[in-house]
This record gives sequence, C-alpha cells and structure tokens, in this order.
Amino acid sequence: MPESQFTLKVFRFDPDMDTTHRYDSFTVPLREGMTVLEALFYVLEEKDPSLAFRYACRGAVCGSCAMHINGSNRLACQTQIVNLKATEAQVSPLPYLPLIKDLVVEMASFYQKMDEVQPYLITHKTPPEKEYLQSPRERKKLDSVTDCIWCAACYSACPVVWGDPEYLGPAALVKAHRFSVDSRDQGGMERLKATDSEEGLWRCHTVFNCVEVCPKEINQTEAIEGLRRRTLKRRLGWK
Amino acid sequence: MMPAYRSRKVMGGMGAVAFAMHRASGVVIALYGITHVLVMSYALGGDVGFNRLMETFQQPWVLVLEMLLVAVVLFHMLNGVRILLFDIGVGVRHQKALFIGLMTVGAVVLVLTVLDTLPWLQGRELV
Repeated sequence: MPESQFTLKVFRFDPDMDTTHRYDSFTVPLREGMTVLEALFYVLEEKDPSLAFRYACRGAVCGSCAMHINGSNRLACQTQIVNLKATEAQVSPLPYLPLIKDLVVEMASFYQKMDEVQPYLITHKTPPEKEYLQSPRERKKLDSVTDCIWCAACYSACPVVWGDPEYLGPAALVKAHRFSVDSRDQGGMERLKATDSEEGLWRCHTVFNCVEVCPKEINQTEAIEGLRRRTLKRRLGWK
Repeated sequence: MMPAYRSRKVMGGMGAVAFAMHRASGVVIALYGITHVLVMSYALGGDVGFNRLMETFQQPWVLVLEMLLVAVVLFHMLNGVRILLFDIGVGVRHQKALFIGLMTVGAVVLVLTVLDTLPWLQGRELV
C-alpha cells in the first residue's frame, strides 16, 4: 500500500438487520493534516453512504464526534491520522453506551445525569441591573473546568460508570464543581443534594481514565476531590 | 436493552493499572487474613499440633510466598497512601510520578526484606 493511503476499520451495527457488530475496512487516501472525521466523510461520500456517525462543529467545540479510536476515546475531528502513529485506524462507538447505529450512541442517560447537577448559575437574589461582577481571582478558579463540551468521552471511559449505571459520572461532577466554585452561584445546597450521595461524588475510585481521555484536558479527578473536600466541610459545618 | 460496544482494550494508563492492582491486592490480603486466623486457631487445640504445623511452614517455598505477601501488602499500603493524598488535595496532577515514587520506595523495602531473610535460606536459623 502506498504511503499516501491508510486503512480505516469502522464499527458497523444496524439494529434492524444485524444481530452482532462487524468491522468494515476501507482504504482512504491520506492527505496532510487529515483527521479521522474527514476520513469518515470520505467513506460516507465515496464508499458507503449508509455509514452513520455524529458531527457538527468539526472544530473540537461541540463534542458530537467523540468516538473510540485506536483504543482510546477521542474527538474524531481533533484526531489527526498521522498522530495515531499506526498503519490503520480502528473506529468504534463510545464504549458502554447503548448503540443506535454504527458509531452513533444513545446519550440520554449521560444528559440526564448532567441535568441532575443543575449545570447552570443558580441565584436567589434579585439580579443586578447590569451584570454579576466577578474579580479576576474569582474567575481564575473556574479556568481549569469551564472547557467541558459534554462529549461523554470521560463518562464512557469510567469503569465505575461501566459497572454502576446510576453513578453520576465524571462530567456531571465536574459541572457541579464548576458552579460550586463560581462566586456568583448560590445553588450550593441544591447541587449538594444531587452530588453528595452514594451514587455521586463518593463513588469515584480515582482511576484517572477520565483524565487520560478528556479532549479538553480537564482534570476531572482534581475537580471531584475538590468537591469532596467542600462537601465534607459543609457537612461538618465549617463552611 | 440496547446493545453497547464493550472495548476489549483497557483504556487509561497508570491510574487504571494502580486501581486494578489495588483491588486485586486487597482481595489477596483479605484471603491471607482469613487463612492466618484459621492457622492461628490451631493453637486452640494445644501446642503439639500447632508446633507441628509451624514446622511444616519452615520451608523455602513458604518463605517465597511470604515475600510475595510482603510485596502485595507494600503495594496496597503505599497505593493507599497515594489515594489518601488525593483526598487531601496533594498530587492529583502528578499522580503518575507519585505512583512511580511510592512504588520505588516499596521496591527498596522489598529488596531489603528479601536480603534480611536470605541468611535463613542459606541454612541459618531465623532469630
């Protein structure tokens, strides 16, 4: 095979026709800077129009194209073929999420858990006339966790989620942390109810799979540990 | 129930390995604890039977098993320290370096333990 080509092995499963999945291999012409998402588009347009996959922004912002690529969860639009350092790319759907078709998974359970932690600013006072003020120091506390794009790469990589479907998962806990450290937020107790439970922040086993796969380089474990300490202080009446 | 793709590859890196080994070593230690209590309960039946049992343990292969147990306990203990440090906000961003550092400490202690027991293997009596 010439150097300018590579093999794309794509997970295929159609619940209306198949009883089990298979991998279809496609030869894709490689060009400089080509991403896995572009390779999937090539297959869709030139080889097999029945291939199903999700995408939207193509710029690592929307989180739609999270997939299991060569053994790890990644964004297809952010993953360049050359960076895989392999002669072939194997693309599968996000593991342990219910399959809809090919690379498309059911995200409802993930979104439901994100909603449980109320991932938005909660205020009880009358809103200020102009805007909520926040000092640069207060804003800096949010820096490391505001980038989450709800792609579910961490959620699908977490072995606790694999074994316990009720566990909130790293993404929802990062969201809870993100708002609990926000100086403008007043939803501490409401959010605490959702996260301070057996299926919440105490279930994390610090496996770090979430940290390994996060395309936005968020340290979920650090966020969860921070949330744990704040919850403990609140329980003990220190805060 | 809709089917789901289950990756055969273990995702993640050192953190996942530490997690899996922590679980496995915990099981080994629990099983050892039960075995230890059972063996010690022989003493309830008098010193003759107990001493005879202890004599059967004075063999090199039992010592090798004991060294393995030391390794398992060291791993579980030091990785437990690593997890506790995370809980107080230390080392989360450097978990791999922390793991390597603590495992190095464990390896040194294990080597010292083995060296300390070598004279017995060479035929000398344990003090």
